[in-house]
Amino acid sequence: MQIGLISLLDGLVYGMLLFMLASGLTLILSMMGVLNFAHASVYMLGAYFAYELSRWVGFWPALIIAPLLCGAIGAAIEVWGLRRVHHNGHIAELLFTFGLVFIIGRAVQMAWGMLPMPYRVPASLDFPLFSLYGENFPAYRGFMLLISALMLLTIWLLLKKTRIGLIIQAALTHPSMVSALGHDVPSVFTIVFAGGSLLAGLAGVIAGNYLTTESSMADAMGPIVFVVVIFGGLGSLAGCFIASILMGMVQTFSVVMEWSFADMLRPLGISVSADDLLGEILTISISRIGPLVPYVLLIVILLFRPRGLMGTRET
Amino acid sequence: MSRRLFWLLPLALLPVPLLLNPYQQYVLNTALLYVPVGIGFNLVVGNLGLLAFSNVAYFGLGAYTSGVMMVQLGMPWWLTVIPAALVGGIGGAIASIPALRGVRLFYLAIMTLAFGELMRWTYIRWEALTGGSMGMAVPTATLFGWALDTDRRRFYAFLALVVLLVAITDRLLRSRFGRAFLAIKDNEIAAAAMGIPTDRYIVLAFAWGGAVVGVGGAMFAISVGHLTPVSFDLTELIRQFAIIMVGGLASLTGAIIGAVIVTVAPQVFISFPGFDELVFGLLIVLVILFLPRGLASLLARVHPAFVERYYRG
Repeated sequence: MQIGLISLLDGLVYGMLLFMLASGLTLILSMMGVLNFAHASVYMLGAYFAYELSRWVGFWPALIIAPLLCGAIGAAIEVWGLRRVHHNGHIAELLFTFGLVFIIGRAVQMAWGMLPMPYRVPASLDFPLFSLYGENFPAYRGFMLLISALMLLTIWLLLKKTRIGLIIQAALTHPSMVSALGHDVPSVFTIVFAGGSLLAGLAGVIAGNYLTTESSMADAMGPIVFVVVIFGGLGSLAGCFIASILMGMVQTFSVVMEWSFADMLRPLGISVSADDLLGEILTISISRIGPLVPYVLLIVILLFRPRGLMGTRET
Repeated sequence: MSRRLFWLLPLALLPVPLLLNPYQQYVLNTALLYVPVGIGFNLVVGNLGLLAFSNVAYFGLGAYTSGVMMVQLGMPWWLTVIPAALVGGIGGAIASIPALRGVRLFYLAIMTLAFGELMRWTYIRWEALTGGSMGMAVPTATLFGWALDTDRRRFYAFLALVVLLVAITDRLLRSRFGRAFLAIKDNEIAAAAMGIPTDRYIVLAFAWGGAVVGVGGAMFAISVGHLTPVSFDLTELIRQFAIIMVGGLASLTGAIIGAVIVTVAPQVFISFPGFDELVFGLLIVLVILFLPRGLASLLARVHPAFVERYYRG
């Protein structure tokens, strides 16, 4: 029970973080048909910018400036890169962002090196918020939850209550029709791309000191975010939200499980020992397969419901 | 590429080892073994037009099949090449299952990417066979009792294999198979309506691509002499992507040019560690922005002999 409650909160924090990254990616993917591999790289940039800025101007200004920088980078990528590549088809767009992943990754390594950055939680938030069964819940995690809840509210208000939100929603499903009605769809794309990158940057800022700021953080986060986006389904922020929370929980809980496939086979009357040919693989506990669990879920959902959890269309 | 030109190139390469020092020879061997890797990848992504990111899985399967058979069964290298091709081909056929279920574009990309990661995870965990993350040493290769113990000797064995694979793939692409791939790429529904059994051709392209890449893996195993799971991670996927993007999608010539450039270009920056990946990234981005049909299209502009009109759509 003790592990359960704290894990539940941790899973929620992680899930909200995933949603912050995945929401931008879902919008970009649904509107422009671009699976932006560089999204997680922008998230990493956000963390590094925040670290660098917090050394000079402190954490709170960095919380504002770093995401804005990431948004500007996103806009630049859209205007000077993707827009030119667009007419060469999906494969070219996909690989373009794939190339960006490597450029950003290496540039970060050259600028800041391979070692983790000493990017710490600000002192004003470094205290336990409350204790549960003797285990502390740090205030910073509460702050992360607050920021992500605010972000969720902002996106929702923006998309549902404003004019630009209406246009974005329409362009999500019928871009050519929206264009025919006289709206400037390319600039809507740029806005969405910049907005998505801004959110990714924000996620980087608040996750950089919760997790670690290092050059492999993009590779660690990227695949899970894609899984979330595809699991949630295209064109559906609600699906994306549910998938994020689900993946957050799955990732957090799978770490504490100690079963293995061999244990699951035992009730069926099959006993496997580590000495058998496949035994070595089958006796590994779930906690060590944790990182693979999202992929397994993804394959299951794509086989049985190709459009994702709440997706409105197939591609 | 025209027939005569194709046979001239390997002939011209025959005396080249006499001019190279051992390190340059190793780089040339690496370029050579990436030719089949590029060709197999290009077959699925370029010719068939399906975004399968599982190429590194077949590459690793081929490499580990060859390595494990040499270590565990004590077989000579040349006997493991065909099993490596078979295992790679089976890997390809397995990777085509989601494509057969109608999974396309990003969905297919992610699922096949997961397949590659699953394989890498297997190499790490299956320590009894693969040596885990520490890797396994590959014994000296032999070809009909003749030890392939220097890079120069391996070069001739590799050259022969690569010529064979390119020739067969070229024949395949010029035949009804290649035309079927092109039809599927352009419009799958129309292709099916014309009576092309699309599923069968998709499996075939994946399996043949996997087999060719598997042979490349077997060559990789003896070329590096030590297999570790790190060699089959995302960086490797980028390298292989750079090969086909820089060379040109759906082009055999492109795969050859790409393999050479992607192997040689990072050597220029050898004294700056980590620079190689930056070079791949820049190469991919610049070629996509300014030369969307790859360097092969530049060559085709120079001389009509390089135009691959039978299968380049």
